[in-house]
Order: sequence, then C-alpha cells, then structure tokens
Amino acid sequence: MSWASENRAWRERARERWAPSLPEPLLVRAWLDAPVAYDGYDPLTLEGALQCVVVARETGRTPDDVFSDCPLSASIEETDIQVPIVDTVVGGIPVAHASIGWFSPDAVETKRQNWKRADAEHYNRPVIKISQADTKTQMVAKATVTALHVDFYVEGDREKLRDLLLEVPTLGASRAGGLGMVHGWEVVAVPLTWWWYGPGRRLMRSLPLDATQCARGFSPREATLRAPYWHPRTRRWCGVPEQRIGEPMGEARGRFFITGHAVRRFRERIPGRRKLGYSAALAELVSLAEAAHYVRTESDGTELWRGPSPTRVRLIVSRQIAGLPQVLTVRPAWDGLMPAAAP
Amino acid sequence: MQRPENEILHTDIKPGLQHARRLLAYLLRATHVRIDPQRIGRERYRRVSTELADMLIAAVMSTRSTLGFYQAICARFGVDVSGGEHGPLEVWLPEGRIRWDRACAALKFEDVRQIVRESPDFLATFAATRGAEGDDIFAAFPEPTVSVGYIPKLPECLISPRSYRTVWTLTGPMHHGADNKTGNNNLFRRHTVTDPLTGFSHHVPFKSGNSIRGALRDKAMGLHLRLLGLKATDIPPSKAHALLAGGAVEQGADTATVNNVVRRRARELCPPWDLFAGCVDQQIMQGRGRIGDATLVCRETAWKVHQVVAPEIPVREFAAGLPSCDELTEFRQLVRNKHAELEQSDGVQMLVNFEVIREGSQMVHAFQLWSIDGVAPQTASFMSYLLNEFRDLGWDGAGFARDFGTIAFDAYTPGEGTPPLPTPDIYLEYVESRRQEMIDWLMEERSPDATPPRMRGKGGKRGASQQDLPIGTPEAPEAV
Repeated sequence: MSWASENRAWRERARERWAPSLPEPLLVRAWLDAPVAYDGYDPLTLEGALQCVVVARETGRTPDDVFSDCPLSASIEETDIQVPIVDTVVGGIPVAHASIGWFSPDAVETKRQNWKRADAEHYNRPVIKISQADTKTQMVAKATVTALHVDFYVEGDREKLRDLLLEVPTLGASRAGGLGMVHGWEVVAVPLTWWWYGPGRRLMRSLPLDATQCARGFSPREATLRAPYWHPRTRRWCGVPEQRIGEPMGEARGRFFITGHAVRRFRERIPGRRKLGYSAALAELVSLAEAAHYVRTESDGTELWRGPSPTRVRLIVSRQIAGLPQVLTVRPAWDGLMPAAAP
Repeated sequence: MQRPENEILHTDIKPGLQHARRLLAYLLRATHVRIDPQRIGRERYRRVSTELADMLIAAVMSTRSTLGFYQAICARFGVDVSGGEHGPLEVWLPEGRIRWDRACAALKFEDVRQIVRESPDFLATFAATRGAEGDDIFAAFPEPTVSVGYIPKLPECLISPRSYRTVWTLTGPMHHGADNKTGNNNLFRRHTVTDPLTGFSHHVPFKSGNSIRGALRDKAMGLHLRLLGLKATDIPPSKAHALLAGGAVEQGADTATVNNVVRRRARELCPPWDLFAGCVDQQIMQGRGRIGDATLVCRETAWKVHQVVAPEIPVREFAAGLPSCDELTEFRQLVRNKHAELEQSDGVQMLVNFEVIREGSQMVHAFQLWSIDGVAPQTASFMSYLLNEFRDLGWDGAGFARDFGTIAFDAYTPGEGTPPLPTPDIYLEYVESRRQEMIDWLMEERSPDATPPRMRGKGGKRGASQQDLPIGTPEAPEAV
C-alpha cells in the first residue's frame, strides 16, 4: 500500500474540515515575545506552521512521524495538506493567498549566540576532549530579527485560522531555545488584498517569475511555492520579495497611500530632510502630496505628480492595485539635485 | 597643544549626538593626560587605553548620570579633577577650553550611554592621542540613525498560543553573561527591544531560553537517572553526552533516513528525552518543550508582562509605576586576594566585576509543550515533576557558588485554553512499570534498530576519535 492511499482518509477529512468556508481579506499579526531566526534569504511563511497543526489535529502524530515514510517523489496532489487559506493555481501549483511575514517598522537585525557544552565530568571516560570530536564545545551564532510584530496578509477563514493559531506558539527556526516565540496572534479583517501584490504592486510573496512581470521589489531566483517550503517538488524560477528590515509598508493618509520606501527616499533625496524622524518626514510628505498636481503618465504606467514650491518634489504614483493611489517614490525637483550617494 | 585662550561654557555646546560624541572624546583625552604613571604603575599605564575601553562600558552601565559616570572613570585611574598643581581639569577643544564640570553639564546621560555603547574603542583610541590630532574624524561619522519612532496600536484581542507562565522573584542577584567580553567587567546579556508605548528602542537585560533549557535539561536527566538508581557515569559516554548535552551530529545523521523505530523507542523509554531531545543513534530529534526567554519586569517590557504580573491595572499606568531596566542592574565586585604572606602565593590579586540584576527584581518566564494534544502523558507529567524540583532548588543563572541566581516562584500556570499539566504520579507509575526497559535503553551504546553509520573512504577512515581512548571506570561522585 502506498503512502498516499494509506493517508488518504485523514487528508480528505482535513480537506473538508479546514477548507476556507468564509474567506475574507485578513491581517494575521504575530506579536513577538522573542527575536525570530531570520537570515534575510528565506522569507518567513505561515502556511507550513498551519499545516503542522492540521496534521497533529487530524492524526494525533507529529508531521515528522506522519511524513517519515512519504517518498520524496510523491506528487503534490497526493501529499498536500489543506489549511484555511484560499489557493489559486499558477503554473500547475496551488499558490496560497498569503504573503510572507513582514516585520514591523521598529525591526532591527540582531544575533543570538547559543552555547553547547559537554557535561564532561559525568561521562564514563578518563579524558574528555572538549575542543574536538563528538564532545566539542560549540558556539552557534544565529542571525535574528528583533521586532514587535510580524504581519501576514491572507485571504482565509477567520474563525478556522484563529482556532489553528492557538497551537502555533513559534515562528522561524531554532525554536527550542525560545527564538521566535509568539506572545499572541491577532486576526483582523482589513480592506487590503496584499497577499500577492502590495502597495505599488510590490511583490508580497514568492511567485513564479511569469507572474511577477508588473511587480516591484523582488529578486529573481530559485524558490519553492508551496508549503512545506523545504520540499523541492515546487521549486521554480521565482520572484522572491525583498524586505528591508525596519522599513514600514506605509500608510493611507489623505488621498494617497504613502509607502515606507517613498518616506525613506524623501529623507535621503530632499535636501535638509535627512535628520527628520519617520513620523515627521511622513507628515511633511503627506502635506506635499495633498498639494501636488498630476503631470503625465509614464511609459511604465506610473504617474508623475509634482509638489508645490519651493521643493517642487516629484512623486511617482501607481494605480496598479485597487484602493488609494500609491506614492511609490520621491525625487527632487530635477535630477541635478540628486545626491550621489542615493542612486 | 597650547592652552586655548577662549573659555567655553556648557551653554555654548550645541545639542545633538555628533557634538556630544566630540566633547566626550576630548573630555576623555584630557582625563588620559592627567593619569599619573607613578600612581597606577608603569605596567598598567602601558595598557591604559585598553583598560579605559573596558571601563567605559562598565561605568556607563553602573551609573545613572553623566557626573556619576565621569566620577567612576576618574576613580578607576586615580585622576584628581578638582585641583592639585594643575588646577581643575580642563577640556581643550580646538575652539576653546571648557572645565570638566561644565563639559559634564553639557552632556546628556542618554547621549553618553548611546555613544559609549556605539564604540568604546574609538573613544579610548582618541583619548590616547595627544593634542588636537584627529579632530577631522568627527565630521566623517554620520549622524546616528534617527529612530523611526514606531508606535503601534496595541492589540485589543490577542489569541495567546498555549503556554505556561510564572513570575520569578529574584531572592539574590542574578548574572547571565553577555555575548561580548569587556575586560574584567562581565556584563549582563541584553538585547534590543522596542517599547510600543513610546516607540523608543532600549537594550534590556534578559535571560536566554536556551540557557534555561540547558539548566532544566541537566536537572531532568539527573532526576530520571536517580529514579532508576543510576548515575551518569554508569551509562555509556555517548548516551550520557546525548542526554546531558544533546549529543553529537554523527555522520549520516543529517541524511533523509528517519528511523521511526529508534525515535519512538527513545521517546517512549525516556520521557526527559522526549521533552528535550537532541541527536541519538544518528537521529536528530525535536523535543516537545520550547523554553522561552525570561523577560525582566521593567518599564520597557511592561506591555508584554502586564497580563501576567498585574492584568487588573491599565498597561500605561502599570508601565509608569515600573523602574527602567537600567535602574535594576548594578555591579558586584569580586576579589581574589594575593595572600602575599604565603610562600607559595603567586602574588596575583584579581578584581572581577559582574553586572547583576538586583535582588527583588522580577522576571516573567514561559514555556510551551509543542502540540499539547500530542504530547505523551508521561512526558507532560515529567514536566510537572521537573518543575517541582526546579522550584525546590530555586536557582537559575551563573555564579551559584557565590549565591547568585536564587529565585522563588509560584507554580507555572496554564494560559487561556491550555490544559493544566498532569501530576507527577503518571510519570512515576510509568517508570515503575517499564523500569527495566528504560535501564536497558540507557545502557545501550547503540540501539539494535539503529541504521549502521556510513564510513568515509575505503575501510571507513576515522579522525582522531575519542573511541580509541581506553575506557576506565572512575569512581563516580554520589548524586547530591
């Protein structure tokens, strides 16, 4: 009997029980109790953790146990686990309507050192070498991010997600020693459909490269598209979102959505604004945007707007996703004023 | 450098971190000039800049004002700033001179703290250079990053993952070593934390979950072995290493072979192993317990701990009543006397400073049992048994021999929706029913069901392995 047929019953049960019955746009926010192990390469994702809980709920066993004898070559149809998040099939692979984890604007890159030492006095050997071989003392430094919260934008079933998240106590790697511990989860309905594309069509999760042609803020490389993300079966050339730690996503103010990138560029590029804090820079940019006027539509579909005197800043505005027009970036009045340090 | 004629007042110093950094660097340079080699000794004077760099961090951590900070530096190096043959100490800046007390008045302590943490070595290097040399360097440093000042809306309805929490009250000073060494000053471990009530970032002391896990692991294995009438030295060294330190990742352990027979047997026959796990018989296993960091109860972490410590008080009111984390630490000096009267004495006297969290402070600690529905009853029951022992022992942290790290706490309470831990009786009965199987598992060098290790090269080339050492049977100490 194959693994697929042996495990069909509980997978069918999970599909019925955990399919999203009332999907809606949601913000799933993890308030963190500890730094999260994050190396800046592999994004944080939510679906894998939810799948683990579904496996445990349906089988009473750990995913390690359940999948230990599952052949690596098994197809996705025979092994996929349902979670209460909507999927869309792209290139033959169901891709979840779930963004990667976006850190809060206060996030900073940190490191955590863990020590492992042999308790050598208690070993039945005359001599224990703690500088080599199996009893070597190890210091492992982990790249971490310290932040207040991590946000996931999803389209899913609120009640089912709340139920499963009760049993997701951690995010990321190195969890046994406390890294990635979640203080609590918030699941709230939001009018934002940012699971694939964010403000200004910023890429919000890994997608096949063909689906990222109009997107921004990603790097093209090999990545996987479906949880469990370590599994090679969905590996493709993808667009993988780039996340600048500490940069806010932005916020809707007045008639525009001002992206965090635009605020950063405003501070870098407009003379005299470098020392402004984020909130002060945002407030000034909002007032400039309110007084700005439309100039033209560029060849890439973005719009050029110009602010009032004396700064006469140029605002690049996108209308490529629904909702308020998004201010993508800010340029000075003309390119001659652009400081050399900010390309 | 000639004494500048122009006298500057503290009101003439411009605000901002760049100006503060420059003034502090010149103040330390003037102090360095006043250090008397005769007074502190030639040998010590040769390495005075290294000592200054180490001392800066300790001084800024252990004092609460700029004056106090500067006083600590002067006392360390025996500098008389108030008078003597040279008169009061003066800081000679290229644009004029300013008396030390006025310079201190111009320096905000928050700025001093940030500048010293940024790079004590830079300040010590500048201090050890003479005259106005290097003044151009300050313009090369950019203004430090301005904090985003992010103030989120605090959650109103939080889904708390299932966990068990308690509040530790420190009945003695606690030390937990920092990642960096600063000479003979052992700092407490800290990490950056953003206070969502103010939007500011702080370096807050914490005790890492990994260290607590290590201490619990030792206790757990000791308890289990004692219950079976064994000592760690009775069992094979590789098994002892796996139990007490998590084992070693042997060749082949990182391949895709998951040997469920070995895994299930280990989990069944050793509940503490199920809880903490590690690598045994080439199987890298995940423990059920996830041990969190201990969070200091202070103003900066109030939003996080208030539900556990004082849920009835509004969070802002609760935060306002708490001290800052910097007020909860102090330095303890330990001395090794040289005993010069003894003939065999090496004549070396040592001073060591430990930054400790003050007695009476509180920390919130939490742990989780992964997938509680799936955790075996004997494992959950063992956790109860272990926590009782932990509470009776009442110790965590470094320096137990010096009475550091003594703690008191009430039983860990389950959070909302979390089932209470079963009593230790289940584990004790389980041990009685499967005692011999458990002993057999512990005494096995290698499980009979284990996958044979793959040998490298022809004939299985091995490195300088400790397997080659003769195995003795030293007398094991009696368990305490």
